[in-house]
Amino acid sequence: MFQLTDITKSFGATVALSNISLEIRQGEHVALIGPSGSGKTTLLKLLNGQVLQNSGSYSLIESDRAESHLDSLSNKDLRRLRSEIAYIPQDLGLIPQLKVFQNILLGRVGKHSALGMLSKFLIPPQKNLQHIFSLLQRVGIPEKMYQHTATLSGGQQQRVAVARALFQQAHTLLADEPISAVDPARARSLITLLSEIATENQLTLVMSIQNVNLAREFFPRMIGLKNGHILFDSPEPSTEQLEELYHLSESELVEP
Amino acid sequence: MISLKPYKGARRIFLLLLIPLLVFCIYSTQIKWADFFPQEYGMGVIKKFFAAALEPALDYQDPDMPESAPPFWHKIGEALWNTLQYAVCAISLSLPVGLILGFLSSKSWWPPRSKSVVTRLTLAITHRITRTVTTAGRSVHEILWALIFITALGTSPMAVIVALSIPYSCSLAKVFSELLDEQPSYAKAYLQSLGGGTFASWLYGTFLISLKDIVSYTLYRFECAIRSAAILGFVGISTIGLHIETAFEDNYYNELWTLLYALLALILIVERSSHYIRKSMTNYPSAKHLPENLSPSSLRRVQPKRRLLTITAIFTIGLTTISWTTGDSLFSKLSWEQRMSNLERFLSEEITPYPVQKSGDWSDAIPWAKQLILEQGVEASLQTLYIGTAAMILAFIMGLITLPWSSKSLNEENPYGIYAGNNRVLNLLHKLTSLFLRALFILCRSMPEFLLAFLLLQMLGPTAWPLILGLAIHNYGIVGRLGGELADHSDLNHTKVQLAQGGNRLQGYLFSVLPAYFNRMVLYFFYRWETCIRDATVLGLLGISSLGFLIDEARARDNYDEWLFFILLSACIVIIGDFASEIVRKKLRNPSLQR
Repeated sequence: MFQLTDITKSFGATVALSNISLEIRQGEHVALIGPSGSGKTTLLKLLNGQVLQNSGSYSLIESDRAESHLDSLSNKDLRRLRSEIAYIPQDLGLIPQLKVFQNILLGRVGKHSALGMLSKFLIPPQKNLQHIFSLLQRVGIPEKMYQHTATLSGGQQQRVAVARALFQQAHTLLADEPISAVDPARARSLITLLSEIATENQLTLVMSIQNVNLAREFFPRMIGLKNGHILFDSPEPSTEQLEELYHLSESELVEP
Repeated sequence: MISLKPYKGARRIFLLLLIPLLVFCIYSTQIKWADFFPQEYGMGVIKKFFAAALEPALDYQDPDMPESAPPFWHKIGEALWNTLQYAVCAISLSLPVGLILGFLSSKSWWPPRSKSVVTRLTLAITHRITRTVTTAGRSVHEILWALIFITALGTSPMAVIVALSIPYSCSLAKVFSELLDEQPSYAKAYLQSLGGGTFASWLYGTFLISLKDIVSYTLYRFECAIRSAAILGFVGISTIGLHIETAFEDNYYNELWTLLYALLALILIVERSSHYIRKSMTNYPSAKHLPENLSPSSLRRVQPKRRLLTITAIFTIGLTTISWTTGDSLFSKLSWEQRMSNLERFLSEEITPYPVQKSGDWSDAIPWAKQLILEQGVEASLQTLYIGTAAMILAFIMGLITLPWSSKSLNEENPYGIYAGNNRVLNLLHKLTSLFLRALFILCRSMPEFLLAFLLLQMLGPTAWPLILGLAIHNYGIVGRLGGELADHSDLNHTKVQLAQGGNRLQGYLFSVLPAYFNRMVLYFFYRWETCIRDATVLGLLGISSLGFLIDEARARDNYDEWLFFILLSACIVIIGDFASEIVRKKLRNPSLQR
């Protein structure tokens, strides 16, 4: 369970998150919505332990472990925490020069030492290959296993990123605007895939998304962010709340 | 208020300044324009030399060749093999050293915001030290390193290989570290977000991505190593350069052409194969038809393979092994004791400044050095600088002028894929000019500048012209290719728009390609200028007044103290050139100037 209390995060003079308090329970599906620059990416990065809050507290409560506070973790524990949270950035973070199965293998980079990873990378164990193959089957592109990632289409690469996140065997899946660059039909199919996979594997799913209709359809909980504040946090935001969320003043439209 | 004053372009000023600078450099090397044209004797040499081009010798030209001499082709083959062997050995030694030094002088693997002061300090000091070592190693030209090793240890192939490896390791290290540092960090950042350790994230997120560029640059340096090995013949190593020099001195022009063609063929083979290897590294083959039932092993069997890379790897390992093991010539017959005593004498007596040898007091070295610098050093250093700069400006201007015809995409039937009429004659002309120029570039950059200068010197007579022209020709080949690549491989939507608006090719070049890539071209200018200065320090070995000449002369007089002093002076000039070019290039990379 993620527990955020009074979190404030700023980069220089820009305040990305201010006084955010929220709780995300294990297995919940949450959509983050809001205009660009509202703090969605920062919130996701904070949950992944990539950035540290300036004030407030962020703790992660796992059933069989002691509560961990982000600001007091050792390097080793920080790595462990990250290795159990899958994060799919907007640019997918795939290495185009590698073959698909190699990119997926790298999903476990946080679970091995550099040398241990190297041996897995050079001589992948049969067990891992079988696992990767079944994951690729799940996301619908098993035939691409030995292809160079660069040769795949954008939609196929997204599926590789999803397979990599699954291979990581994490308890949480964070995705930063995964559908911003695809056509409506592909967007829907990807969101369907992600929420199905999260349900099957009992993963916590937190996704930032621009498309309010899709968010409403697939997510039982929506958090509206604007200028670093939580505007609403509800299963079904009202039309007024959505209007307020996306209403931008003239100057904001020209200069974000 | 928006100012409508015309924009004063720094670019225009830079371009316009090049011409007076060129004139000044040429004027300062005290050569006359008239020297550019060969004298009567030179004309004779030129006629004979080029007449022989069409009839390379197939056998010894010397009628008095003893029966016992090895067959002519055997001689050529051996000269070529020796050249290749030196290059392979030198590169195989330089690559691991270059990788280690390059890793140490890169910052890309540093842990983010390390808290410990000791760690940070250790990293910073290691970084500084390796940077200094690589700069120093590069600043002395490989010919000079070879001369130092031969003088200090006695002639032995191993000494020459080590001498070649020093500057090569250092330039590999420099470029590797730059490649690693300039690699986009998204993949590394991503792996860290998965909990990857600092080193693991660097290894997969940075090093792995750079591997293609690292291999690509190593291939280029291998090509350079063949050229370097060839010209080492001019200082007495048994590579093809030695035979070229002798053939010229004996006036056996037909034999000379056989040797030149052989060398050119070797370099062209390496150049072309590297070209295809590079291409195959960026080309991802598509999958073959899929197997009936999908499984990891069935998919693995049909996975796309890049055979050329496998073949190259096997070939490289084979060639390296053969180069290191064949020929007893690799390790000299000099005993270790002999070599150590050589070294001891070299260090304790020969290179100690003459006044110090007499008095034993090192303070006497200061007036000695001062005198050397003032009487000869300054003058020779300036000459070197002028020669290098003049050559580079010539190459750059020629490159800019011919670029619209040498760029493949611009000089195509349909430039950048935009239909440009179907006049057959014109279209053929476009194809031919671009083909001709690109062939010319390969030819120019294949010939070692030292060899070009040597040949030109015999034709044009002993002025600085041959040195300038030799350097300029070689660099024209390089600048031409780099410029063409810029125009060909970049996403030039604005050029397409200009052509679609009715502009012609030349306009597309002048108003779209040139402004978009001007800074990059100036970047290349300074990058090559730095190399020109470095090469200019040794061209004087051919006997034209500049630093190389002083070095050669001191050696001829057996004054090894002065000899080493001038070598160090040449290193200083190169370091200053490097430093100046670095500052300018850093400025040019500044994103606010990239527009």
